[in-house]
Amino acid sequence: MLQWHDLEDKQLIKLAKDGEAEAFGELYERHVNAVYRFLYARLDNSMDAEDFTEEVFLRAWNSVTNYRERGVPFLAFLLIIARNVLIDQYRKNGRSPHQVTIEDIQLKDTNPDPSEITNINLKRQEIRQALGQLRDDYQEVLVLRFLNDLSPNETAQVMKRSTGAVRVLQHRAIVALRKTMEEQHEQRI
Amino acid sequence: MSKEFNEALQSGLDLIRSGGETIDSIVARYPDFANELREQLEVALWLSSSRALLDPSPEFIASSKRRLITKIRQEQQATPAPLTWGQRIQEFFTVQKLAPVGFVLVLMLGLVVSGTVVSASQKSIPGDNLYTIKRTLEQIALATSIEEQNDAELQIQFVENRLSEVKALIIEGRYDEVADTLEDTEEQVYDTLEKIEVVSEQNRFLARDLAVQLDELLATQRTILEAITQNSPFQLSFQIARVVVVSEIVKLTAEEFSVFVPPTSTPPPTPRPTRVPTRTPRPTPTPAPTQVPIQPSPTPTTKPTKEPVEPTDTPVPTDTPAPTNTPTTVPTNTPTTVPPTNTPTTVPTNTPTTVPTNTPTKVPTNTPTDIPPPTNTPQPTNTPNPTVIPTNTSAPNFTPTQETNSSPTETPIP
Repeated sequence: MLQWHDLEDKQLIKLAKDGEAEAFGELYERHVNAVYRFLYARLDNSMDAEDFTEEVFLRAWNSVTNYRERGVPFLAFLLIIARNVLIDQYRKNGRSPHQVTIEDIQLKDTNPDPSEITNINLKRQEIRQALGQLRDDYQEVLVLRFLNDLSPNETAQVMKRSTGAVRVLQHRAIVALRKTMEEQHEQRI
Repeated sequence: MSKEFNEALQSGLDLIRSGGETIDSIVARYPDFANELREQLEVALWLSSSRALLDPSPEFIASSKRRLITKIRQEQQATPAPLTWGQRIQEFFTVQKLAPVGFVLVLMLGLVVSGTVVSASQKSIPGDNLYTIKRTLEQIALATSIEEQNDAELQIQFVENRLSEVKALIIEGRYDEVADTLEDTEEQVYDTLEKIEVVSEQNRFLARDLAVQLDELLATQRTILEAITQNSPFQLSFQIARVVVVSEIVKLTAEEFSVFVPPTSTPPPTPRPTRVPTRTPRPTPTPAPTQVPIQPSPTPTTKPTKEPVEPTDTPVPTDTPAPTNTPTTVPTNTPTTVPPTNTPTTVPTNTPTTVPTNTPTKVPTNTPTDIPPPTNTPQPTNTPNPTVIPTNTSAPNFTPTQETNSSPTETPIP
């Protein structure tokens, strides 16, 4: 019997192109975390992140026949779609992620979910608050590079920039994030 | 931001994540940018370690996957599966090619059906389903005809059609339609007579021929119709009588045209006079004699050298075998008298009929060469009677040509 877990992405993609929904479900399982993290780190709340995650995979299914690897991993292909989904959302709402304030995050993310009362949720909130203070491209490069563990080259493909530009952007983003974290730490004190 | 620093940061992160190194051990390897590298490693590791905090819940993943697959299958049922490029190309060619092929097939079918209908309608008689098509086609043919003569010829053809239909209806015993068809025949004959009158205004000879043609057609049917009248009901015999009457009118019309336009005199005068003159002028220009006397004077100086070639090229000498024979024998005797007497009798008659155009041009050229010797003597006075003779004396041309070299030189001297 065919075991989806035994197949590589290439094989699953080929089956998905032939219309095999279960093969695409396996690809979903493999990459949903990365897509969700990319979205959640840049959205107001987890509900939107979940909705947009499904939207990303539906778009990917409809355009999977056009996917050609050519050095672009399937995850990068998914994250490019996720980036476009976010851009569409920003255009629709007339706002960009760097306009998201800490107040917005605190108000919308302090949902009644009991799990978020825990220490883990506080740390999660701390990360999102720190990222929310950064410019859009700083958030993007940090999420892609360190949360999703993409290489500089893959990050450059998703962000549609050169690898050198990504390296410079990454360096500045880290400096900015460190500065933000220090400021938050001082505020707490 | 040096490339070396980035490589140190990336390798340091990998080594620390794998558990083999710490931040301090990595920083110790790069003392030049130790502080900056430490800060970057700390932030990057903090983000990496927080990765799990931003992961979705397992419940969401499971439920979301189910929803996704359900949506995909719903879309697959609603719309066909996404086509590959090969399938798209195949679909394109099947759709794009079948359309014109189908169109051509439908067109061919239409042509075949229409052709079959048209041919079948020609055999139809009144009361048949296709008879309307037959009469419509007749009207179309009449409307598309340009000349009055063609109209009249078509009308005669239609009269013949009506009479054939009458016979066919009588054979089938459909007397109801016979009466109507006879009425149509009568009208058709009158229409034809009117058209012949129109033609007569332009060409009475042609109108006479058409009237005679119509009369001959009705005459052959008249006896048949009269025979039918004896055993047919009154209404039918009445209609037949009307057709017979109109046929008598046609007969009178044809006779009138024949009286005013005699059949024998008409044809020859107009066409032939135009043709004959074109041919006859040719014999008249043949006056080779007229050209002959003109050329002898200039030729002695220049032409003798150039023109001797032409007679040999042209077929004239070969056409007249008699000349060729005489030179072979005569040469020795001819110089003075013999050739002129023999040639005039035979050759002149041949040249005007067969090769009138050739002889005048070529003969003169030769004659001058021959004539030189006669110039010494008064022989030209003898030749006038056979003025044509010199033209035919082309035959002797051969023999004198050898002598021309000597004779021309002699003539200028005197």
